[in-house]
This record gives sequence, structure tokens and C-alpha cells, in this order.
Amino acid sequence: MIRRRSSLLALVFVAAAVPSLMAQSVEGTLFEDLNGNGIHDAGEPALPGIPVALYGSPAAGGTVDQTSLTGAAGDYTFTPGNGCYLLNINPGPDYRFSGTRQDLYPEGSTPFGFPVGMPRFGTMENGIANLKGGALRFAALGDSIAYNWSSCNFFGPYFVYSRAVRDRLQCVAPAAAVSLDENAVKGEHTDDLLVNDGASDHNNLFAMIADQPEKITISIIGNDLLNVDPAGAPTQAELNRAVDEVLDSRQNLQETLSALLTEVPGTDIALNTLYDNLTWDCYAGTATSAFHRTWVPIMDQILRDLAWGQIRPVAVSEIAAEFAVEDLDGNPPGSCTGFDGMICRGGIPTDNIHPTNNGYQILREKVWESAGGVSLGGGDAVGRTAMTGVDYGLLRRVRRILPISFADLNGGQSVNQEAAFDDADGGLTASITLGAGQEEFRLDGFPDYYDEIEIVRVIAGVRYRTTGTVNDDFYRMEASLSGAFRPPPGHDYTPFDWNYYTPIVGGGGPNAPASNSDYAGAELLVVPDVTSLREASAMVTVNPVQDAGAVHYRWPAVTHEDLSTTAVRVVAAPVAGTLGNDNYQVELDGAWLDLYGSEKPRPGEIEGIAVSRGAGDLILTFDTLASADRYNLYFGRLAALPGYDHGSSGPATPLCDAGVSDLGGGRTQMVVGSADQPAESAYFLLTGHVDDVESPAGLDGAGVEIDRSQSVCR
Amino acid sequence: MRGTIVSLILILLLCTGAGLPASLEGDWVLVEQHYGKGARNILGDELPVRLSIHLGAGGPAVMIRAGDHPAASWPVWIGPDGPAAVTLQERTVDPAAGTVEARFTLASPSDPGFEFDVAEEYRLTPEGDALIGTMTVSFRRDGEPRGSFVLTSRFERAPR
Repeated sequence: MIRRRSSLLALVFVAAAVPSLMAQSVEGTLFEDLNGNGIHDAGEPALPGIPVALYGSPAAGGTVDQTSLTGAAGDYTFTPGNGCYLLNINPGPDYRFSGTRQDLYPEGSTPFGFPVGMPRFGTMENGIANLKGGALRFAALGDSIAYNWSSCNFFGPYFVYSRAVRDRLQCVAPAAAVSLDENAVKGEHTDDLLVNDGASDHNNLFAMIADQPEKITISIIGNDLLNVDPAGAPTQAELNRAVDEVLDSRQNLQETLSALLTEVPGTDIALNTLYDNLTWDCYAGTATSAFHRTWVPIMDQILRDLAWGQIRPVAVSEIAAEFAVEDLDGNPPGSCTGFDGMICRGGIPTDNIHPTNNGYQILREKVWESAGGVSLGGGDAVGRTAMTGVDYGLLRRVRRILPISFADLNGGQSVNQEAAFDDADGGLTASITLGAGQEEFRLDGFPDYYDEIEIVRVIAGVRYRTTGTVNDDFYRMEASLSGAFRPPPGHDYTPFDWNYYTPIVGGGGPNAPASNSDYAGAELLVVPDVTSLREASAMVTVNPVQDAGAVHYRWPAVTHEDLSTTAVRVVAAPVAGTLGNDNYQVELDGAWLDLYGSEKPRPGEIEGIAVSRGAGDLILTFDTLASADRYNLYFGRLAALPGYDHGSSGPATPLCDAGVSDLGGGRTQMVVGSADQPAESAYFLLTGHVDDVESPAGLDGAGVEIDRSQSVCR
Repeated sequence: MRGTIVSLILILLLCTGAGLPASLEGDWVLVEQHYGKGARNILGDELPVRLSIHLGAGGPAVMIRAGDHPAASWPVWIGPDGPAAVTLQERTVDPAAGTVEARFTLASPSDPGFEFDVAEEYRLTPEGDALIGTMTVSFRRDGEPRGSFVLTSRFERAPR
């Protein structure tokens, strides 16, 4: 009996093993990420027909170089065998990868095992092409995390996770020349990335422009807060000083990323989120920091948004989400949902910040995944021979909107201003003279009436060049949803009130932040003189909110109302103490906002309108618009025709959400009392709202939809 | 009567410690450590550190002990596995000035080319109840500077 039972067990094991050995596959789904969270939620449509590529080296020998289109369900599958590979998606110009997932483990679990954790994949835009081209120079930039430092690993080896990623890239393309520049410098700040240290230190933008590496990883920002993060319950003054540094870091990183993307055109960049031991209460008896708890999640979202808003994809190595989840939700102490015990504790010198060697293995996996790296078989950290659920969410650019008005402020002088309204006018530019003070050229009037667009994210972009020479009276370009650009003097920051502008061009520089201008060597602009048109962009964001009872922040989307007050500006940024005598012009080709998200259907025009009078009333009857939740009536001046001026100069106020009655039989009636009627002959237009989307007001004589900007009943 | 008053004064002086000479001599416990100018004390309780200074006739002796590791002559680098060998460049104990200073170097045995310069400087507070100072760790790779960090520390006199 015993022998028979053993045989049966053996058979079962063989049967189970066969599919696994046969699998050696990687598969996933591409989908429209309607909420931008990186997770394929119910109801989010699949994206068929998108090219997905897999390139690499099977352990059995040879090369795999396959591209397939996603199927009807947005699915793709490769069965390359065990080996080392890179995945690449190519969604085309209308889509962007929505971002590496940052969701958290179910409470109390580490479902995917040490050290891989939750798979958090990204992709390199040029990685496969560079490896095929035979060379990939990889530069590891940043601070002590990039250095692989900890007091528990004082004697090294160092740069361990970067070396491992280098080795895996080499495994993908054994014949290629893959090298690693170990550039990180212990203790450096985001400001240091903008300081040209000369040949001895390549941990900066200027060295990267000289070196032209094909891959750059950056782990930085933690040290920016090192000397300003308050202990205990911070005073408002301490908080203001620390938030100044947060915002200065954002400027510095925006300049870093945007400059790298244009000045090192073949490179792929990956940015680490901030792993911080004081944010989460995952260690019983170890005090955490109120400031870190409050602000590090904000800093991490800033990092993700910085990466997402660039002109080309920047990957995120999602370290923060992987390490730990805060234990503030009433669960027992120690029930953290990430990995535990990954911080180097104690030691002389004291550490309590850096990962242990095990912790650095988690970083290694996240950096590899952010490159779209897939290892099957012996090369994988946990020996996986198949990977499923390697999904990519995409966000669609629904519309690019442009400004329609400008202003010269603070002595600013500009000519050909309207050339900046159109980014596709063959390179015509508004010429803006700066360099002597605080001059500013401002663009606004972005349309807010595309109410069918459900905005998920917004990117502000500029295209410009310069003439003349910039010496030390620099310039910045920024967007601001409110148009205020900076908080009022004496403003006290809170986690819900700090986000007044989005930097696009220009770092913090030597005189920023004003409360702690301690980096005299930091450059404001990596490339101040721009001889040919250059683009830069950044994601425009709002302040976070925290719903009642919620532990985590929620980041609302930009609204159409926000767009109505949004401005983009080019502003002088002289360095303190300089003469303010530069003579140069910024030639602005265009400024725009790209709206990413989805579109609701627009209702059709209102049909069958009939007009009559009765007892002084104007009586309109028309075909009922299916599912309409309100109707609007606009009056315009006959003298304006063939133009239309209803809503702006009409002879009577628009009747927004005008009262109507159902006549039955598919007809609706609106009665306009004498008080609401224009006192002169007028034209009128009738629209309806369905699901908050207004129907067209009709077509003009040329068959073009009447200007939607006139229909102001939003 | 006069003798009673003198006795009271002496008792008060002894109770407050006033009048005792401020001296490096004694045992000191590390109670605070900050990165740079940071306000937050990063010191945990995992590895209590004690510095012992003895100003004997044969010259000052300074020992350091961390947790359960054996006491070692200061300065020393204490890693996860205990004290590590250092190349001492300079050690100064100045009882008159109330200072202890040391500079030493280490080389990574597992990653050739990486070296570290460490400088420690501590000064007795005027009250004589604490040693405060800094540990600066500077990194070099193949002779080129590769960053540094500073820890600001405070030792307090250990209870007798």
C-alpha cells in the first residue's frame, strides 16, 4: 500500500510540473486606465492592437526578438523560455503609460515573497534598441541609497543593486557592451544634480550631457530634508522651512529630468520613490516622525508626477510602496503590509535610515522591473518560470488646449504675442525680453468648456528657444492652476495647501528656497541658451485631500473650472546679487495643456424648435433631448451675426437651467417671461445638458459648430 | 553656629555638584545623535554606546563599548559584527581643554578602491555634564571625494 501511494504522489508531482516547465512565459494585458491608478479595474476597457515587444536571451541559447499586437482582450503572451528579457510597449503618440502601480499589499501579507514583492513594472523606451545597437552605458546617480550605503554594510560591496541590474541587462544582450558608471555621491541633494563638479564627480547633469549614457537611474531627494525635517510636532515655522525645501526639490528635479530628456536624447531614466523609515510605523517601539508621516507620501507623489509629466516617459522604481505600509488604521502594531526588518538599525555610526542588504535586494527588483526587466528561471530572484499579470495601463491624450490671451507684467516686453497661442504655426514665436528684473509674460484663457472630457491628468508644455546670451539673469517657465503662482506672503503651508505652481523650466537655483538658500553652486538652468526649439513639460497637479477617516491622501484630478484660471508664464529669475543686465529674448513658440483621460458622448443638437408668443411670454417648444438634466437658452445680438456673441455680449442674460415642462409625445416646452426676454431683436440658441455635457448650439453658415466658448451655462 | 552654616553650604554644593571640576574623566553614554543639523534624534535603543575616559598618570585611556560587543580602544568602527580595524592617524585627549579628537581611515575589504576618512571631535560642555561633537565620515573612491555625512552627537555622564 505504501509503495502504491508513493507512486501516485510521484505521478501527481510530475503532472503538476509539466505545465510549469512548459509555461516559461510572460503575459499580461494592456488597458485604458480610466482612473490612472495603474491597476486594471473592473470596467476599464482593454486596448487591442497595441505593439508589445520582448527582447532577450533564452538560457538555452539564441535570441528572442518578438513583437506582437495585443489581442481583442488587450492581452499578450510570450513564451520565450527561461532567460533574461526586456519588455517594451509602444502605444503610439496618443497614449501614455499611466504609471507603475503603487498599490499596497492586503493587510498583513507579502503575497509575492521576498525580495520581489508586488510586481511593479515599467518600461524603457529605448532600452531594446540600444541593446540591439550594441552598447548600453548605465549611469547610477543619486545619494547614499544609490551608493548602497548602510552602517550594516559599511565594508561593501557598494552599488550592489545597480550592478545587478547592469548584469541583467548584460544577460539580455550578451554581445552588447553594457557598462555601469557608479556616479552616486553620499549625502548629495537634488541641488547637487545641477552643480557642475568637473571631471571628478559625474553625479550631475553636466556630466550626463557629456557622457550621453543610455540609461540613468536616480535616487535622490532624501537629503534635501535632512537638515530641515522637524522633530516631534513641528512648529509652523519649521514646517514652512521644510516645505520650502520640498518645493525647491521639485523644481530641481523638474529641471534635471527635463534637461536630461532633451540633452541626452537616447537615454531612459528611472526615478526611485523615497524609501523612508520614519513614515511608517512598522517597527514596534520605534518612534516615527509626524513630519515624515505627513509629507513623505506627498513627496513620493511629487516624484511620480514629475516622472509622468515629461516629454518622454520616465520610469518610476516604486520603492516606497514596496517597503512598508503605515500602521495607522487601528490594526495591531507590527501588522505592516510590506516587508519588515529592512532597515539597518543601530551600528556605529548610528544608521536607522538605510536599508539592510535584504532591503537593497528589494530595490534591485523594483529597479529591474521599472526597466521592463523579466527574468525567467534561474535568473529570477525567486526562480519564477512564468509571469502573469504584467499589465500596463495607458492614458489617452484626449485634447490639447491652447491659451487665447496674454499679458506683459512687471515691465515685461513682448512682441508677436499671439504666435505663442499656436504650437503648430510653423515655428512662429512670441519674442519676450527678460533679464533685467522681474519681468513676466503670461498666457491664459485656456478653454474650460470641453465638458465631455473626463480629466484624469493634465500636462503643461512649452516649446521655446532663446536669442542673445543668458549670463546670470535667468528665466523660469511655470504653470499655475489658480494663476497665483506663489502663495501670499506669510503663507503657512499645510499638507492640503502648498501646491501653487508647477515648475516646467528652471531649477531652484542658488537663491532658493529663500528660507534656506544654502546651495550657492546650484544652477538655475542647465541649458540657458537654447539655440533651436526645445520642448519641456510637467504634470499639473492640485493639492491632496484626505477624506474623513481615511489614512491615505486622495489626489483629485484637475477640473474644468481649474482650467479657466490656469496660466503659464515665462518669468525673469535673476540670481540674487547680480546686476540684472543680461540682454536676451525667450522666443516662445507655444504653450499648451494636454488633457489625458476619457470622453463622454456629446448629446446631439436640440431639434424641432418652434417659437410662439402668448400673453407677453416667449414660448419655445422642441424635441425632448433624451436623458437631458437641464436646458439652457442663450440670446445674442443680431448685429453680431454672422459672428455669435451670446453669453458674452448678448442683450439678455442666458437662462441656465431654464425651467421646462414636458408636453408629452417627445416634446418639451420652455416659457420665457417678459423680464427675461431681450429688449431688442435677438437671435437665440437652445442647448441641453446630458450627464453634464452640453449639446452643440448648432452650426454656423459654414457648417462649423458655433463657438462653444460662447455657451457659458456650465 | 558658624560651623553649622559651613556644613550646610558644603552639603548644598555636594548635592548640586557645583564646585566640582569639569573633567573628561568618567563614563559617558551616547544619548543623542543627529544627521547634520537635523532636529531629530535618530538614536535607537538597539545598541547602547558607552565611552569611558580615564586620565591616569600613564596617559589618557579611552575605551568605547557598544551593546554586548567587547569594549575597544577608541576610536574604532563598530559594524554589525563588532569592532573593525582602523588606521589611526591622530588621537588627542586634552584634559585642560576638555576635548577628545581622533582621525582614522578604513578601506573596504570587499570593494577595492573605496576608502573612508573619519574624524571625531567632542568637547566637554561648560557644565561638565556632557560631551558634544561630531563624527564626519568622508567617502573616497580611487582617491576622489565621493561625499560625506556628519553625525552630531551628545554623550551624557553615566550615572555612577
